[in-house]
Amino acid sequence: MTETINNIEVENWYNTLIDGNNLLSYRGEVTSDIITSLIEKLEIYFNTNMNLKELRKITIHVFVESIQNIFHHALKISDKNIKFGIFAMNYFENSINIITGNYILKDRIQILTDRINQINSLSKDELKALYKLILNNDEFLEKEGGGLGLIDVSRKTGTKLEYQFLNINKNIYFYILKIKII
Amino acid sequence: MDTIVIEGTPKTPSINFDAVAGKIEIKGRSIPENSIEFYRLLVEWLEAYATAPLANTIVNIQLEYFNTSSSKCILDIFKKLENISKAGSNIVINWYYEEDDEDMLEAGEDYQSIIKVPFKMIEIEE
Repeated sequence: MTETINNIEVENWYNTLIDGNNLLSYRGEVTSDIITSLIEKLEIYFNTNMNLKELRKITIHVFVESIQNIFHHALKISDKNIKFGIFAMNYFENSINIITGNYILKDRIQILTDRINQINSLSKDELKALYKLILNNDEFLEKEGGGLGLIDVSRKTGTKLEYQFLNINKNIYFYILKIKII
Repeated sequence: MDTIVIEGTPKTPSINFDAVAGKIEIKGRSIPENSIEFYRLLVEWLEAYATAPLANTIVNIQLEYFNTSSSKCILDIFKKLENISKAGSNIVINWYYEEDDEDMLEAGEDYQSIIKVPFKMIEIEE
């Protein structure tokens, strides 16, 4: 990718995520080793904050799905050719908010918007049925999951997914996903 | 047939596939980025086991976490077991879940509704 990336907006946005309620944050290349070390950090955090014990399992599960979503789908940008991702987890008023961000091509916006809106419109039972349909159908699963991750996250949290796209340049957008765990 | 024994890691489960004992075990975490690669060996082992299975095969699945890319691979494992069951071998899948882990129980029930092999849901204390 040789196009110029204007990261000012992304940097400004990232800086607003980190406040007193932050329990884990990361910005940079998302690799398998980085994911392993972030999981380890998260486990240490939950093992030392026993008041959050009830949220431990679901949070680690959602963390793995959301950061692996970046690993599998992030657009590689700039001359460094890396899968750049942003991740933040904040604890506020008995709930945990997970925010992820990664670059995508413009043509992914409609697909993602339709998919998330569909997931948000479904009931618990409908999500379960859709999950099983996609799980058991090879055509949907060609590229590491085929959208199963978002359905799974939505099933487990029971909350609606929030999303936003920041315009970076003519062809590239920054995709932000917010997941709430209560 | 060789027995497959693989130690668990922070991202992959421990494996014990024993054709002599008729025992198949997957325990721990299954959250690797490259699930297909990890499970390929196990699927191949089951294809070989299917050619001469024991009369009884016990399957123990005890997972703390699994990601959605593993979920498809686990289904592939179960489909191989379903074929072995159809060919006349008696198979039971013991699906273990931790006390209060309703998500893991529900995940087992999802598989149970897809796969025509008896499942036994077993709750374990944390």
